[in-house]
Amino acid sequence: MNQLRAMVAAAQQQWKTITIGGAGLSLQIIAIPTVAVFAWIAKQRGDPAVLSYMLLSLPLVSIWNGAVFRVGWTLSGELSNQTLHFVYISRTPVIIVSLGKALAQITWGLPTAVLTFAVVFLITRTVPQVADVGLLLFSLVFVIVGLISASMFFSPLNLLVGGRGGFFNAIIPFGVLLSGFVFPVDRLPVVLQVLARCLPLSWAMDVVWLAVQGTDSWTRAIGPWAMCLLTTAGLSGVTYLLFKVVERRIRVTGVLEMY
Amino acid sequence: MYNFIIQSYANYKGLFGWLSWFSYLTTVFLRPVVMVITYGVLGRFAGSPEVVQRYAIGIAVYSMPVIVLPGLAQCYTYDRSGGTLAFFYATPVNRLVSYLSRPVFHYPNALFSFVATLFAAWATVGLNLVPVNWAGFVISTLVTAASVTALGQFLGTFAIVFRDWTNVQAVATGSLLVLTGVIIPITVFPTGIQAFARFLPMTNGLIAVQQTFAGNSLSDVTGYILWESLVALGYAVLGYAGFLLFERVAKRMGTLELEAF
Repeated sequence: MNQLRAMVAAAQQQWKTITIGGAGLSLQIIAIPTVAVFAWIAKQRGDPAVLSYMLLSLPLVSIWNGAVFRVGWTLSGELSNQTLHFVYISRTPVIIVSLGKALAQITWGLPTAVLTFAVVFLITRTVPQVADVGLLLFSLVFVIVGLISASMFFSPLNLLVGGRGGFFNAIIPFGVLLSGFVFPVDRLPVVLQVLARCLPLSWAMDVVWLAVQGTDSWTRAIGPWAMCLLTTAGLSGVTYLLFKVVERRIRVTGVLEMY
Repeated sequence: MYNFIIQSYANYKGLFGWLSWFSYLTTVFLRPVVMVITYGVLGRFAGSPEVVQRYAIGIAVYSMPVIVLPGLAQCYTYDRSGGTLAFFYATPVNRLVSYLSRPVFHYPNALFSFVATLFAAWATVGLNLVPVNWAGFVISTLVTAASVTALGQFLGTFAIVFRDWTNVQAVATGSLLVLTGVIIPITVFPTGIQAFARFLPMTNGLIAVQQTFAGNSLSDVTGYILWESLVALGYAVLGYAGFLLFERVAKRMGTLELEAF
């Protein structure tokens, strides 16, 4: 219960940070023209299934951009603001704090996702035709789980590599590509498909595509969902280890602030 | 001249926040590759395969502002937030020399990014290099990069007085992506927007780049190159005027180390 309370407090703190910071919107803003162009390309062929998929997937780009960047910078920001030590002094695991921040960031991204959807809708003039709405709703839950785990992964990583500016410049669009937010990852070259399949979002988005196309049995979704959970567990395990490395460098060796 | 080179180097080395090896290499070289793959595969998945080459050229040109605009904005922002701008304003140093020295090392980044994108496009989606008019292509590219850099200078000066440079950059790069013909031909827009787009960097340069890539002669695209050069000159002059104006604003409002707005 106390940890839940701490997580909510961390979410509130992150929410305030986003709303006070002037840069809060830039990552979402930049996503809008990009997805507008994606939508325009899709409109040229006019394939209803493709348009429907993109109407559902492109709004996730704006959430992804904000979540990865903002959550990715939380630990580095705390370190530079001298508050990370207090987080480690407290009994709340720092990963719980980060989870709260990730949830806040994803919630913050929802209105811009709606705005992005509106932009894509205006361009394509298409209502998404989803063959299996129930399957879609379930798959979106997996997408959110994937978003949270991916964004949390970058938080300790960014800190451990020195928290340099521009760290996410290529990571964010690469994540969009590998997550299947623009097209299902089976369209990618094989090398990239292999990379994409290590990420939970690629599996979760497979089921979104399946929901758009329709399926006679939900059993076809079980495999991708299982892989989504498996890769989420793997990614979360790596994230946990990275958090441990950060903690060790702060509490034991005490050298994290000396790059 | 020596002073100019020193200023250029110091500005770049000290104020460009993406100069760590990881950030620089991934931003200049990897990100354009990702963009090419994204648009290339999307072109095949959702668009039509025959337009992929046009997209690739457009994205190669678009990769220029993606690196140059934030780079120059940082140059001005960090000058202010780092507290060095106040020292600069306190000296009688030539403002024009300082203004012109800031983009010197950012300009090549535009070209590196362009070449990396083009190479990635050639390797991944395939480009037909046989008909390319290389002289015209190179000149068009150099002029377009200069024009993009001039826009970076113009927008960068706003970072002196505005709270955050990222939102301005986000709007600018987004507008360039949509309105300059990178992917969406400007002919699909209403006449008024088309006319406005002619005054944006890249619009005319991109036409010249695409036409010379398709084999048109230099004389065919001279008009576009000249227009792009004029646009570049216009933004450079406006940027310098803004540089001088914002100095006065920052001094008058007592916000040399803070944002005025």
